Amino acid sequence: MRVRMISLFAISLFLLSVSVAVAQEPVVLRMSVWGSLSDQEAYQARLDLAAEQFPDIDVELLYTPDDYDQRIQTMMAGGDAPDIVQMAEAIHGFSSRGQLLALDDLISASGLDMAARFGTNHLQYQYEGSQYALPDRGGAMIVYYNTDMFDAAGIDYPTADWTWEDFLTAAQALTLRDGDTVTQYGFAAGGWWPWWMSFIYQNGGAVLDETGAPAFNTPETAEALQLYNDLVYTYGVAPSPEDYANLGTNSPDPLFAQGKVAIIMTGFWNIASLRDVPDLNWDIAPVWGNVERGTVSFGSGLAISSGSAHPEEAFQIINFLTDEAAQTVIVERGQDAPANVAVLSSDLFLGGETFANRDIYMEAFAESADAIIALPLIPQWNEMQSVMSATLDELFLNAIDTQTAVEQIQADLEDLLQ
Amino acid sequence: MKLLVWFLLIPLAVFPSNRQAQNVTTISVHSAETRQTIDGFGASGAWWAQVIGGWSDENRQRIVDLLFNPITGIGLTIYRHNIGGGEQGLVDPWRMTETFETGAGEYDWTRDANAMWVLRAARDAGVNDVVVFANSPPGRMTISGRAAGNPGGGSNLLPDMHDDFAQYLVDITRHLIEDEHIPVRWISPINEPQWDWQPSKGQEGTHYTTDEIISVLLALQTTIEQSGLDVEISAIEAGEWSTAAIYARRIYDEPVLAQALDHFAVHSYWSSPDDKAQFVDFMARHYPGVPLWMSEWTEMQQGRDYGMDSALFMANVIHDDLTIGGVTSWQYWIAVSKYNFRDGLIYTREYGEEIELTKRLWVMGNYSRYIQPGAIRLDVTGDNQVVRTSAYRDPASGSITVVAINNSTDAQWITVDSIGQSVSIYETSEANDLAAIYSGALQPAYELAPTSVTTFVFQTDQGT
Repeated sequence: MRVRMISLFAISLFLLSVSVAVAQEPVVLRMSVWGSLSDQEAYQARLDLAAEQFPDIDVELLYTPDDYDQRIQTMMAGGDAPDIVQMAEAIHGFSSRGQLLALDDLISASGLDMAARFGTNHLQYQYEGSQYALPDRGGAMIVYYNTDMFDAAGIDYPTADWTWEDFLTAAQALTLRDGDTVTQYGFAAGGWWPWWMSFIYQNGGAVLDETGAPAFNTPETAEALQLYNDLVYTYGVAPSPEDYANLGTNSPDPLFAQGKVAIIMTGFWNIASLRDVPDLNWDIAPVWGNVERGTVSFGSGLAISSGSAHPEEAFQIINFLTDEAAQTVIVERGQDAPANVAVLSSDLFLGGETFANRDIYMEAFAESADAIIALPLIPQWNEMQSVMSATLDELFLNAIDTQTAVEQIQADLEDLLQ
Repeated sequence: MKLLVWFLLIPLAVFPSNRQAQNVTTISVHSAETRQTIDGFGASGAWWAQVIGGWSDENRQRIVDLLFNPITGIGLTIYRHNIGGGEQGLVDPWRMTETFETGAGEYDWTRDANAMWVLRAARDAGVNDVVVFANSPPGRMTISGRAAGNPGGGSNLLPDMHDDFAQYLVDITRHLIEDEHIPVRWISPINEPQWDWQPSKGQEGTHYTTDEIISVLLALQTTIEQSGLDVEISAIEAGEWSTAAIYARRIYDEPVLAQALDHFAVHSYWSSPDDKAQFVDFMARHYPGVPLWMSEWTEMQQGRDYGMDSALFMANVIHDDLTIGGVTSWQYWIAVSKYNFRDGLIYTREYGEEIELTKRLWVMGNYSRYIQPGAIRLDVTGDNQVVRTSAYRDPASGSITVVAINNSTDAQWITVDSIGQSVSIYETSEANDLAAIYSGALQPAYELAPTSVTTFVFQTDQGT
């Protein structure tokens, strides 16, 4: 009898150990992200928080700094998709092919109030009525300006009320020359789509009309692009692509940090880049307008691959990563503007000094909210970008004229979207 | 009836069942639709040749054989020899070079002996096409007095040294050709001119403005013509595709250079397929007929990888460059690496003579061993993002080579519209290193191993 009892006890212990072993076998997920090494560290810090909350879920971070969309596309096509995928403007190229999971049921089951957490930011990740990502990072493109240069030129700092006329006047006054050599540019931009696209929308132009048809060949768009190119080739207040190459860079950001340019437009992330630059005095402001104001909302969301074997666990992770605790890490590290409205409204974020090392005009982000362009995030976003930049790169080299460019792009977009 | 016989005789490739039918890709090779003519595949001797050339005979020869021997290695036909600028002030001894120059117009040809051993060994292994390239002029000719760039990141070649630099390159090339019997075909004087090369970056390099580029290329072209050497200029090793048009526009608007340059060389770092397509379109619209080279690339990612992950990524870059970029040559960056990075076709260690092979080596061989100089790329239709294929006809033998990438973690099947009379198949996968896995009659379908690169050589009777 005693033997039998011991046996039963032993069997119970065995079964318990088996059940414990089963319970402790973690679900392993893979999550792919892009960005800089500091971005990678911020994601890992947030995943470390998630690991405390979900000890049974291991998330391996796949950091892909180069050719992100292509690499993810290849992995998905090859049946090797990560469970969680960082997505931005190209998202609906993936969602329209069924490569991402519609999150609606998981959102409903979790009780997540999308509007309360994200405001309207999540709408850009909807396709044909379904939600394909939770917004993770955000923030408008804003103006960075060198306050010393403005002070030296005796010009008032930029505000949300600035028009193209105010901007051009300032850029001309802020451009300094030594003979034919520009020693200080008033403005610097280039071929990156948020720059030229914001000018188009500021002038009442658009890429697609409200029906989704190409609407590039309009006087408003042509006028905007003409001014944009004139800044380089007529007014001489901004560097050309060749000037950039000759200056040893392909981006305005290092020129601004080196004190060679007075005004640039970029995202939140530049705050962290500039915070420790010695002897550089700068601030931020909302982007200007013309017929109307217009700027771009940067951001990315976290999606789940439709091929994931663990969608519930993947959702638990992205739900956690977009909640307050994990979103606060984004701010603490100065990585980006968070997508979570509560964190975006927090003293930590609005204080700015935590990550900027100086008192800067953080209200610029809130003041940009009503100037955000409704981007045409169609499934062919990447192809559309290719079509437009192929011709615009020639325009920005001054190899073709503006009217030729808008006609060519209109024709190419019609071919693409027919 | 014929198909049935093959089916019964050949155990290798059994046509997939219905369940597997979704994994079948059918491609057509269009022999009449010809594209670029291939100049060859290659790799650079930068940073390793000056060390490994001093290894024991057995080990240094093994490295050379792996890279250049077409039977035991991957049969690269192009070798990029680095003309060092003599920089000696860097932390990493691999990146410091010796320069032959001892003074203006004076040279000590016993210098750089280890790299010279590799160069001669490459020649002896059958390399017929050597590019000599300079990351920087020697310090004597620079503003900073160093070959590692200008501390401010700006231009470093002294304005009055353009002709001297050209003469220096031609003097060295003459020595290599006439005294060493090295088959130098191209001189590349400029490398990634757009970046702000400076000593803190830890390697030789020089920033050039577009005006300086034109001046240096014109000086070199004049000096080559005066020398009587049978070499051409390879330029300008643009650091990425997306900004290459800035340089192409200036160079090909200069009539002397438009006539003189053999090709336009670009690097595939930081470049998407769209960047490549856009530059190709730009060149086709403005400067049609200019051949393009991809003359430097490695995956820019920390950490070593010996397996198929990085090899497959590289295969896709090669595929894009050949099919989207239309390049006539594809050349890898450092062939041997000691670094904790996804570079090198072969890894070694800081000390000792370790030789550690990667799948990248063998995947490069899937192209380099079977696509010879003079091969003509043919159009292929029917492939997709999972199974990506490119095809080449060798005019001499008439054989048609098809390289197939399987990006999937599942096996795939491929059918090829009837070409040739027989086929030999070589596979690089987790299991195989460019291994011959089949030779014989044509098959109705061929299996592609999971995450693999497979080369099919179809023999025809249409050689010249």
